[in-house]
Amino acid sequence: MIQLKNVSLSFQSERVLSNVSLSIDDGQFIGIIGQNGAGKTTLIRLILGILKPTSGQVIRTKGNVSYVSQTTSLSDSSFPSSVEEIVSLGLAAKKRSPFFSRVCKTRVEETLKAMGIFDLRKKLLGELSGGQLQKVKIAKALVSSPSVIVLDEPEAGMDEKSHGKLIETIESLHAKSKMTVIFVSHHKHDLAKADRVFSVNNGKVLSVEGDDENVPF
Amino acid sequence: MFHSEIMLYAFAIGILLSIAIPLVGSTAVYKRLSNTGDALAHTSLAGVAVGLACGLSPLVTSVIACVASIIIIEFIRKKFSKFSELGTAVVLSSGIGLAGIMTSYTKAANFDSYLFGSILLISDLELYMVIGLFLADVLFYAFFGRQVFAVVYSEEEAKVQGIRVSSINLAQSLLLALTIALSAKAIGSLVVSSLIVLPIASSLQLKKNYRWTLIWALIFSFVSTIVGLTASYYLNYKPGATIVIVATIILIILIVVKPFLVRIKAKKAS
Repeated sequence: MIQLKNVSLSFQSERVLSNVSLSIDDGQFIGIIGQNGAGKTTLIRLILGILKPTSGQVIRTKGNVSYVSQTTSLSDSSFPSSVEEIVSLGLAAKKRSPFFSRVCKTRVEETLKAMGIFDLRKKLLGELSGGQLQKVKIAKALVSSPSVIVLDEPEAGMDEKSHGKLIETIESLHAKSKMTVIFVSHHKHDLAKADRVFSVNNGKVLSVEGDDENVPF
Repeated sequence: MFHSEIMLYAFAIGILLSIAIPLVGSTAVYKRLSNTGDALAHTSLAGVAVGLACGLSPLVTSVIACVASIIIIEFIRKKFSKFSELGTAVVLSSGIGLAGIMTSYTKAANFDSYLFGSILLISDLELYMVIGLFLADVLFYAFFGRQVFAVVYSEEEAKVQGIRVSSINLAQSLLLALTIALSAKAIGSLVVSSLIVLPIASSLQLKKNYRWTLIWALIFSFVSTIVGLTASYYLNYKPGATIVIVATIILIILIVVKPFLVRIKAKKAS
């Protein structure tokens, strides 16, 4: 379970999030929606523990958490790496050996198959389409079998067809597993199957219905 | 050539550094911080000049200068994350300034041997220190290589995964600083940063995955060192400078040959 109790965050003198309280139960599909710069990414960074709140409390029960960030620190296409290498990075925290065990290899292969990108495993990142790249990022997050997965606008920069397929993949992922999914999106229709949707606006976070017409997306 | 004990020492130290330098340097290149090597190399010169001027061991003062510099670079990188190259520029220019002033108090001949290196004049202590550094580099990347790769790919995702990003960055930076400081005498402060960049630049031309890009960088660095040292022996050139010129020639050949390789690959695929 994840709980935010009266959480506020300020950068220098500017208040970015104000008095946020929310609770997410295990296995829920949570949507987070809001305009550019509203504070969506800041909210999930607080949830993930990357940022510490200025006041209030963030409580997260123990469990393996994976994060698919909006952008990696590098331009993916120029990074000299293959699909299977990137996916295996999801197990990097657990591995301190020069050798990659058979168990890890099998886990990587299983994840690649589950995401439908097994045939791409030897391809370099620069040879992939935008949709395939996003699948690789999600596979990297899934390979460690997390109990919570946080996706920050994974559909950014994708064409309509790939976007639709990605949403289907995320929905079926949630339906098949008991994983908590926190999905940040610009588009209300992406969150049609969400159990709860939080709208971020002017530093305030409100729980809204997915079909609420007042949510301007 | 190998009848001389001096040349055996030179080859031993050259081979160890040819592996150690690209190993620690590759991550700086991937982080778009190639100039960090340059900044550290210039600061190491300032350290050497201070050591020579004050009658202290230039090796020790150069190590201290490099470690202090990398701490300053990391501090500025964190403080001004949107201008991460700022720290490198600040350290590089102050390194040159300090080295310039301190050379007024040193004997020119002593200082010059650190500009292009004097691999033939390496002492036993320096050889042992390079062996220690080589082992530290290899062991660190053998056991933490995957975590370093994860941090290079995305610091935020690595942090969420439970990887100690700050510790990995600190260890990597310290190894880079030590490698540059200890390479200054052997290869030369002015050319050591080239050995960080050139082998990786060459291997990137081959468009391989992460593992093979690193392996090819190590191969190119090793070949450059062997060919460079051999050529410098017979042609009586400065060894460090000759190694760098060989590494540059390898890069030029690869850039010229690359379009043909791509065509051959495309033909095979079709």
